[in-house]
Parts: sequence; structure tokens; C-alpha cells
Amino acid sequence: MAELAERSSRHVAARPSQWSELLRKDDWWAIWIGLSLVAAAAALFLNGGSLKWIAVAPQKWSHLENATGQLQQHAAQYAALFVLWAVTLGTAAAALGIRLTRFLPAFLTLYVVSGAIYFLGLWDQAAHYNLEPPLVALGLGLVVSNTFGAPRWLTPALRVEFYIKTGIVLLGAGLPLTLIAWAGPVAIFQAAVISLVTFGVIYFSAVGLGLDRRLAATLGTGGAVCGVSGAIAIGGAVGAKKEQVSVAISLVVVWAIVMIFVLPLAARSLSLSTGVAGAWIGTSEFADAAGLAAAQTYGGYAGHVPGIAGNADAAVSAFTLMKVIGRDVWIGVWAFVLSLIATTRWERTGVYAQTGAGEIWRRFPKFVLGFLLASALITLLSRGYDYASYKRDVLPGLVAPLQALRTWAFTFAFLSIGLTTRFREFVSVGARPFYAFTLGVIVNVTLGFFLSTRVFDGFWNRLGQ
Amino acid sequence: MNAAASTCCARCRHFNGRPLEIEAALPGLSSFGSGYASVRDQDGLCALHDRYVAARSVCELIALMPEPWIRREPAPVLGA
Repeated sequence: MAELAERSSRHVAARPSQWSELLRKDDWWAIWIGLSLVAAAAALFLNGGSLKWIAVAPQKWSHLENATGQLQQHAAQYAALFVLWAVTLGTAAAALGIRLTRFLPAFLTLYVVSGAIYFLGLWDQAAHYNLEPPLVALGLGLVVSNTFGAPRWLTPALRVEFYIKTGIVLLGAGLPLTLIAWAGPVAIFQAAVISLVTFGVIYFSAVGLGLDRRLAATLGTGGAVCGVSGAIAIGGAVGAKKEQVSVAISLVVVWAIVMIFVLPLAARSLSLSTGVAGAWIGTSEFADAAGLAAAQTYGGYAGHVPGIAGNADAAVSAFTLMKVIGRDVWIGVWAFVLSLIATTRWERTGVYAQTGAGEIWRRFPKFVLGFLLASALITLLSRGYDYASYKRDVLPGLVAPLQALRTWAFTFAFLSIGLTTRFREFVSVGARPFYAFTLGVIVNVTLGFFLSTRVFDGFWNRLGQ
Repeated sequence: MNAAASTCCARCRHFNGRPLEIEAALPGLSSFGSGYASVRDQDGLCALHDRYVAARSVCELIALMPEPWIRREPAPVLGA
């Protein structure tokens, strides 16, 4: 094998430059788009303007006439916002190899339906009927996709991860860097405990049930680190069979969707504060998109459901700190370590991985850099403002428009989740992988609840204030 | 070990790293993940072994794609 590795390194194929990654990965496009919007908002703010005209969002309404009136009054802004998204997302889609002529009509449909869901969420009776936009978007998409099926022409615009990553970069603009620095170590510690324990439970129970170690590792990181992204990263790093990656993805998707509905409902029944619930969701959900749907849903309860303390944004903020900073960023380390173990300790497959520390950077979820840069930029601009002037000037003029754009991006993602999830396409996972993964889910949710509500509850509660 | 075994999977005709085709081959990937994600690096599907492998992996059964995709340097003399 050493000979193979040596000879491979001497034979250099004409391969794309490393710089081409900057245009070929949706992580980087999320950064380009997110940071461009943040920079534009900052430039306008510094010159006395604001991005808020184009970052239009529905306002509270009580009667249908109010909603249609809003729409008529701001029709030009909604049209301009569509053009903004079409140009930015369309440029990225084209660079990724998706034909613009197919992307744009599909995206127009996605935009219109997302807008309708966004409007519905602002109905003053929405909370009463549990019509939270993430749940409505997800539920509608799932029903369409699993009954008569989403039309094929819609597929080019259904880019869940791309929209979520763009939204997370924009989310950075609403989280001061000082807050990330304050909360980061606790999030990393809590996430490390949960990741190691959950991985151990899934991996060793899977091996104990007689499953292949590569499948066990793929299942383990799917449940413990970052869901589908974790499964696909580790599947490639250890050279898992295609079917094993499919099994892990199927289990992650099913459990992630179950948890989108279960975690907010459970937290609501226990009247957890938004910060604590967000931390629990961040610890126990399996995918960023699923967790953000659950966290945004729970944030929507703040101020509407009696007994739920904390502000609406705290759920999403705590989730992001826990999931993105605490868990996602470590996937490269998991890939490096497991690849090394697979190469040196596990049975040979005929394919030999050439692992190295470079694996850590190559698999690093780059969009996190955009999230941190957006946070740093807005933190820098906000220096010199006291709390009152920040609330009066910076928040409405600079941060709120970016938050509105973030909500749009997340709504595109939530709708796309449902429309791309067709349960009948999932492989039959078999009983043993199901048992191993489900045991991990039970431990993960229980331990996540304990850490969020008993050990670090004071910390997460403060975040919500 | 033949000479063809001396390069990595990315250059093999059995290897498919195209994001959209990987998404189609792995149902659910596009629901909560992406074929274009950084975490996926340059991994792809190996039709020969029916595995999902890193592009930098090596294999004795490799089937090199024809020029101009491959630019070879002089083969090293092992043990020299």
C-alpha cells in the first residue's frame, strides 16, 4: 500500500486547481452571496441608507384584506427581491452546473410559495393553529412530494443545503462576535460530550449487532455529528459501500424529520425557555436544516405561547452555536481519525485511502467561515453604539433587513426539504442498523435534554435574555 | 501491481464524482445534504467496488481515463 501511495503521489493528473473549489462548492457560494449582502447592507448603512427597501417581509395581519393590501402596496419591492435572489442564487446555480433556463422558472415557483407561507406565518392566529412557517413549508412539501409527487421541473431549484448555508451566513450578522466567543466554549464542550457518547453508542451497538465497521462509523457520525453531511463525509473517508451510505442517509432523514415535530412540541409542553430549547435542539437534531426548522418554530412561540420565556431569536442563536460551532466544524477531524483507523485497522476492501491531516481542512464546512466573518463585520460596525442607539439605529437599519433575507432563505430551504423527501425512494435499512441508530437517538435526546436543562440551563437562559 | 494502479481513483473510469449524479444515486442526500458540499470533498462512487470512495484513494484495479485528462510524469523506480 505504501508503494501505491508513493507512486500515486508521483503521478499527477491534470486536475482542477484547488482554487476551483471556490466556484464548485455551495459552501463557498453561500459565503459569496451572504457576505455580499452583508457588505451591501453595511455600505448603505454607513452612507445613511439601508437595505430594508429590497429586504421586504410581510407584517402582522389579521384579515385577508390586510394581507392583500400589503402585497399590493409592496408589489415592486417583492418583485425587486425576486430579482435579487434570482441574480445571486442563479449565478451560483449556473456555476454549479445547473442550467439557468431550468433554475429560474423553478425558483420563481419556490419564491411565490415561500412568500405565501411567510405571509401565513404572520397571521395573528397562526400560532393558535400551529401554523409556524417552517412546519407549514415542511408539511406542505412532504404531502406534495409523497402523494402525487413534486414536478420534475421544480427539482433544479430545490437546493436545501445551499439555502440553509446562505441563511446561516446571514445569521452571523445578527450574532455579535463577542456572544459567539462567550458561548462558543460551552457549546463546544456540551457538543463534544454528546457527540462522543452518541457516536460510541451507535458504533459499538452496531458492531455488537454484527454490522460492518464502515457502516457502524457512517451511522455513528450521521447520528452524532452532522447528519447527512456527517454520513456522506465519513462514508467517503472510510470507503463505505454505496448501500451503507444510503442506509445511514435514510435513517438520518427519517429521524431528523420526526425530531422537527417532536422536539419543539416536547419543549413547548415543558415550557422551556427559547435559549434552553434551542440548545437542546442543537444538541439532539441531526441536520442543520432540520434543526433550524425546529428552532425557528420554537422561537415563533415566544410571546405567543404563555410560559415560554426568552426572545424569539434565542432559539435559533442557541441552536446555531451548539450545532454549527459545537458539532459541524469537527467533521474534518472525525473524517481524518476514522479514515486513519479504517486504513490501518479494519479489513481491507481493495481501495486504499491516502489519508492525511489535510483531510481536516478539505472537509471543513467552509460556510462557517462566512458566518463568523459576517458576525465580525457587524460587530465591528456596531462598535461605539450604546445599547439604546443600537436598538434605535443599527438594528432596524442594518441588522433587521439581513434577518428578513435570512428568513426568506430558510423558508426556501424548509419548503425544499419536504419537496425533495420521497420516503418510498429510501432503501430498506434493515432491522439491525435501525436498532443501533435508534438507540443512539434515544441516548442523544435524553443526554441533550439533561445537559441543556440541568447542567447548562443557566447559561442558555442568559442567552435568551 | 500494474502501472495503472499507480494513480488515484479520481482518474479512473469507474469513478463518478459528479454531484448531481451522486445525489440521484443516494436518495435523501439532497433533502438534508448536498452533492456540492465541502464536507464531501471530491469523493465519488466507484462502480467497480460499489463503494463511495475518496478521490485520493488508490486501487490495483484502476482503469485510467484516456488522455488528455491524465498528465503523467515519469514513473518512479520503486526502491531506488
